[in-house]
Formats: sequence, C-alpha cells, structure tokens
Amino acid sequence: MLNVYIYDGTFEGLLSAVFEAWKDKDFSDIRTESENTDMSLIENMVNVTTDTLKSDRITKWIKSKIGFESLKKIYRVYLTERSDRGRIIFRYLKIASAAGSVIDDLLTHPDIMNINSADRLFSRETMRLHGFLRFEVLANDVLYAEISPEYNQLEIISPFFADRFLGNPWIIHDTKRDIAAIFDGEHFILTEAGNNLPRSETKSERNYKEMWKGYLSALTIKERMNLKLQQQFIPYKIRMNMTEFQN
Amino acid sequence: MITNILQEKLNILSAAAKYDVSCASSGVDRRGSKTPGSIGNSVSCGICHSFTADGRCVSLLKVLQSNDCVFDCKYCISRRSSDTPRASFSPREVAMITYEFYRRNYIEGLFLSSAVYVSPDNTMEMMCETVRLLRQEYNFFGYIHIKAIPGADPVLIERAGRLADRISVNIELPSESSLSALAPQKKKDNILSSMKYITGRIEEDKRGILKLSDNLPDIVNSGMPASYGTSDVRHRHFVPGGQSTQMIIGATPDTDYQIMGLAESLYTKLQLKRVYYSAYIPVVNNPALPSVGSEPPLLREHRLYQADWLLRFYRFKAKELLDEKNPNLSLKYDPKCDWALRNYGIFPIEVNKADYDTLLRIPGIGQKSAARIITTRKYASLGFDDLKKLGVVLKRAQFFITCRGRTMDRVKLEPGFAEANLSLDKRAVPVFANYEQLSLFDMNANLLNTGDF
Repeated sequence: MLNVYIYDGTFEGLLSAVFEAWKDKDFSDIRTESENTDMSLIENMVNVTTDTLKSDRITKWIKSKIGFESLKKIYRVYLTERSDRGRIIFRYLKIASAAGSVIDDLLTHPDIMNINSADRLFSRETMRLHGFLRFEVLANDVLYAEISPEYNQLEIISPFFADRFLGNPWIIHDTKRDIAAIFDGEHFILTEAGNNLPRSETKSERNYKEMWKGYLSALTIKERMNLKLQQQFIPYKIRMNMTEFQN
Repeated sequence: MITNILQEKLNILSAAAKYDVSCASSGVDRRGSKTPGSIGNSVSCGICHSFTADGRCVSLLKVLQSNDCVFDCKYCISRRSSDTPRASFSPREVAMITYEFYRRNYIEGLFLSSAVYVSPDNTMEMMCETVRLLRQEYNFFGYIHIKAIPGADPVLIERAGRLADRISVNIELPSESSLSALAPQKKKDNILSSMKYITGRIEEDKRGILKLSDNLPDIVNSGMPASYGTSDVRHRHFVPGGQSTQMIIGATPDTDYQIMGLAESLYTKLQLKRVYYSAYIPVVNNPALPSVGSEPPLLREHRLYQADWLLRFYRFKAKELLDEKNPNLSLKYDPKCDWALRNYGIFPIEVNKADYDTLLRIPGIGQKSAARIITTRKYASLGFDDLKKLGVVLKRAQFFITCRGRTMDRVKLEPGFAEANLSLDKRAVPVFANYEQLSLFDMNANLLNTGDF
C-alpha cells in the first residue's frame, strides 16, 4: 500500500503533510481533496491536520538549509495549484535535505528541473499580468480590474500594484477563483469577492477605452502586419480581460 | 474632458510617431512615492503592455508634440512639403492623456518626440513643459523618454534630462553623406554635439559631481523618489536610463559595415545605452529613395539587431563580423552562425572545459545556457542530453562542440558538413517574404521613377 497524504489546501497544510510524510518509506503523494480524483486501489489515504508548529519548523529549516529565495520559489509553485505540486515540492525538499543549497545549481536533476519549470511558468504569467492587467476608473475614482489567470497570482501581483498606485485605491478581482485584492491606498487585503462589486461604466471611461483602441490602431505599421507574431505574444486565451480586444 | 478633437489629435500624432522604434520602458528602478496625490513607479526590465497587429511591443504612450514641421527631410511623412493633416498637442493635453492611460495600466509612461515646430528651441520648450507638468503637477513618477531636438539650446536639453528617465537624439542616417542628401537641415554637428553634451552630463551625474543649475525644476523636493539606472549605486538626477539613438536602414546605400561601425563607436565612445535600427518604410516617392510599395528590409533589420546583441552581450567586435570585403551581414545565416562558419578552425569546443566567453561563441548557446553550463558542470560533467535540458539548441551547436571529448552521433567536424546541414534547418535560415532585396539604386529604376522617360 502506498500512502497519499491529504491536506486542506493551505500552504501550512502542505508543509504539515511534508512533515508527516518525511520518513514514510511507502510515500506516494501529497494532495488536496479536490486533487484526489484518481484514487487507485493500492493507495491509502492519510488525512493531515494542519499544524502551524510543524509548518513553521519546515519553513525555518528551508530558509537555513537552502535559502529564503527557495522558500519563495516553493510558495510560488504551491500557488500554481497544479495537481502535482505536492509531489514536486516534497521531492525537491528531499534532495535539499541531502545536498543543501547546491541543489539550485543542479539544473539537470529531474526533480530540480520540475520545480524550476513550474516556477518559470508561474513567473511568466506574473510578468504578463503586470503588463496586461487593465483598470477601469469607477464613478468614485477607485480603480477596478478583472483577471482570470491560470495560477493563483493575486498575492504575488498585489505588492507591485500597491507600490505603483500608492495613494490610489484599487480592486483586483480574480473572476476565476472569486477572490479579490482590495487596496485602500496604503495596504491591501485578500478577500472573497462575492458578487456585489460596483460596476457601471461611466461615459468618460468609455471614451478612454476608445482612445486606447484608436491609439493602438494608429500605431500599427501596415507594411509590417504580422498577426501571427501578435498572437505569439498575446495568445487568444489571455485577451479576454484586455480592453483593446473586447467588443 | 475627452472631445472628438482630442481623439483626432491623438490619432494623427501617434500615427506620425509610429516609425520611431526606440520606445522601450527599461533602464530605471524607482519605487512608488508616498507623497499624497502621486502615482507611478518604474522597473528596470521594462514592461510590455500590449502588442500591435504588426507584432511590435507597446509600452509607452508614443506621440509627437506636433507634426507641423519646418524641416523637409525626404524620407519623412511629416516633412514640410507633404500634405498630411497637421496637429499639435498643448503640454497639458499630453500630460492628461499620459496620466489617464497610466492609471488604467495601459502604459509604463510617455515617449515624447516631435517634428520641428517653428524652431528646435520652441519645440523643446513645449516638450519640457509637458514633462514638467507631468512630474510637478500630476506627480507622475512613471517612465518618461524624451527626444532631444538637435540644435536645441543645451539649457533646454538640461531641463529635459532632469525630468526624464531616458533621452535620445536621432542620428537618423548612418553617414554624413546620406544625411546631407536626405535631410540637409539636420546637421551632423548639431546631432553629435547634443549627444556629446548629454554623455558628459550623464558622466558627471554618475560620479556625483553634477552641478545643478538654478531655475530648473527641483524634482527631488517635489516628492519624486530616488531613481537608479541599472547597476547604479548612487541616486541619479539626470536621465538615469541613459541615452539612446535611432537610425533608419535601407533608405540609403550605406552598408552594414558602416552601420555597425557607427553603432560600436556610439557604444564605446559615447556610452549609449541602445542603438535602434528602423527598417525604412517607403512612404514617399522620391528618386533618391526606394519606391513606395517596395518591401521594407525587415530581415536586414533583424540581422542588425542580432549583430547589435553580439556587440553588447557576446563580446564581439564589429570588425569580427564585417569588413570592407564583406560589408553586409549574411541574410542566410544569423551573424553568430556566419562568424562560426567563417572561423571554423577554433571549433570544436569542449563544453566541459571552455570558459564563459568561449562558450558564448558557439551557435545555439546563448548567455543563459552558457551560465547554466558553467553552474551545472561544477557538480558533474555534461553530456548532450544534459545540454538539451539546459536550453542549448543542439540542432545548431552539434557541429561546433564536443562533450567529454566526443561529438554527437554522425556529426563530422568539417565546415562543409556544418554548412550543408545548417542550410536544411528551417530555424537557422528564416523564410521571409522577398528577402532578396533588389537593388533599388539600379540606374534604370531611377530613370523610370522620375517620369522623364
């Protein structure tokens, strides 16, 4: 029988599962309930209770054994919400315990490659959001944006927009996960979105959207037309929240 | 207040600016300001906010202050003798649009250029006022790139540099003869002296000895946070993002050898951050220029950028790539590949032993792969499978390397072999429509164009 450790979906829960599974010779995987769809007959479910004492120990150990940057990397991979994140992180930490901080130089090791490529995919989306997120100005001068990213980016992009728009309140709404980041001009909080976010488009807002579309069209050099190239940079699936590609 | 007039102006003055490609938003790190009523920060890697249908990145609001020009440069759509609609922005109009686009996260900031409206000084004054309004009234601390009009008073260039993140003077054409033939009102001396002045001030700023003149807007006290150019430790006051320039390629018979030679001296002698190459898009019929409707030299522009990258990041010298006998870059192969085939004697290179600079010379190995090779081989020697995992393009590199003393299967270490196989590789030899650019300086073609015959 192989053991699958089920945790509650939080980062502390994942680390608690790592803690419990550490010495298990029959270890198979670490999953959340929703990731646990293909249960095989030879797998035994172990429910993990989230224990912050355990997760704090692991966090401290990661920081001293591999470094703070690696802890951040692990957290980003956790935020990808991909179904194999538990396993990738566990295996990465196992190697870390054997080899220490050099593991980040072992670029051809499959377990290191897994975590690095997951991180790269996540960070690529973060960079894209910095550029492609679009705000609307609501009637009360609050900035409002909708995003629907593949990975859970809200926590990671909020500090960037908080710094850029210091003093200018905004709301970023992840419509896929129904959560939102709310910034009062100084600090931001993450919360569930609910469905009563104020949205009525002012005339001035419509005008600025049209201006932006007109501007992009005026910039296009027809002799260099290359829609394929444009699509490489902005795949169709990303365009839904971008003003210039709407209507 | 948006009106149709404002929208019209924006369309005219951004369409007129679209051929200026030096519009990156990179080079400056600046955090947000706590001053109430302020907005904006800057990241040194720059951010792409959108892409136009021609595949080019949009990161700034790129506009002309005015397209009502007193000059008559033969290649330009805004030249005095052209009959295009004219418009001018007031400084406040530009500041307002910049601010409104910025807060919607459409842009990183402003790229402000202009036609020569009445005079270079008059134009620069308007542009400086635009930028001053943005910094001091709108408390806008996002990215600003301003063009310096050649021939403008150094006091105005000084003012602009104190307010902007990057400044550029367009060198326009690669040689003095081209410049005097096509843009006689733009004097090479004016261009160069403006560029040298800027270089000097940047140098003083970096060394912390910039003397700040009186009567200039005091940005520091208006709440703008400290700005840093890449790898600056000291807080910068004068264009922290440095100086760049642009030249048009394909409008004149200047060779790549001349172009890259010029670019190299701009980098080494004037410490420019970037040189941009803009493929000439024929917009006007003139016997001295390629005719309207002829293919713009996009592949050549691409090759020039590749050569430019080799100079800046791969430690190549221009004379290694081009000389009087081979004055133009190969269209068939990228410049690095071409150099490798012509210098085959130094290959094969053993990837487990070569230093960073040598690894950089191998086609298919870029800066990132070279760095990864050096990092990873400390712990174990690398085989071809490992190289693939590290991002090396083996399809190209295989003809130039050994791993642990051996070549890849079936690879013969002869230049002819490499060349024959590289020709088959679609990625190595791009398929651009019509890349065999016909010589448009053929005498017969000129005669037909003038309509005299």
